[in-house]
Amino acid sequence: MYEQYKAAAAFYVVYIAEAHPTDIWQMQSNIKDRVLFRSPVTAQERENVAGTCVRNLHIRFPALIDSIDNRVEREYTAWPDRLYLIGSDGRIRFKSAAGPFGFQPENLAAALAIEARPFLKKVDRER
Amino acid sequence: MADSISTSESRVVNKRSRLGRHLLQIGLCLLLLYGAAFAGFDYAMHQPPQTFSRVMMHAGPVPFLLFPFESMWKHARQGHLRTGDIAPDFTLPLLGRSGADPSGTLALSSLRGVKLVVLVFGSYT
Repeated sequence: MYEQYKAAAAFYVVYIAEAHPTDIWQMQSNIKDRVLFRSPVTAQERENVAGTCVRNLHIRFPALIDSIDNRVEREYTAWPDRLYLIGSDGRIRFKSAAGPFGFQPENLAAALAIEARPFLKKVDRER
Repeated sequence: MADSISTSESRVVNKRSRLGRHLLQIGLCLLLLYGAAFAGFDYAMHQPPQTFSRVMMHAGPVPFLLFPFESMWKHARQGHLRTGDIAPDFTLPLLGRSGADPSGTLALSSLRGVKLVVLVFGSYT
């Protein structure tokens, strides 16, 4: 999706509070995959875990780090994960249902297919 | 003889209706208990993530079995933002401090009028 739409959309990970840290709600799947991290308590700790995440998952677009008081996560009700598409006018064009159940990239892709058309046409004309 | 038969029959009927009342009382109690548990768990879902996580740490798989977890969760985590609302602005540090902004931060509003923006909120765990 990133490769297909990067001419039309700026993609950002917003790294937020851990969904299943080892010290609170641990998951068996994380133990199996050895994704074992305590809840970060400082901004630096969160940045370190985010860096590991981006490297290990080979994420190719930039990541922003939410403040340790989770201000942006609270504003966007984003925990444990969520997708947003914001128009060039600053308005929300797509908001997924709350993750994990609502974290469905295919729904974002459907919204992008519509919203990105004018941008992709402009890019084609400029070529 | 007829009298003793009718007395036995009425004893059976009485036993059945007492049993029926007991079952109804037990059923009502269970329903009230379920309602209270449902309301309590729904309240927990509306709490900050760390608080809810602590509840789940102790509850294990039970809530998934007892309650319509997915629909309760989606409702509890709806949030106040709707499609069409202005996305709340924020300025956050970029990982690795490698953005166009030399201070290594990005303001969402700086992208307005340029492109669409996709925000993927999440964490490694």
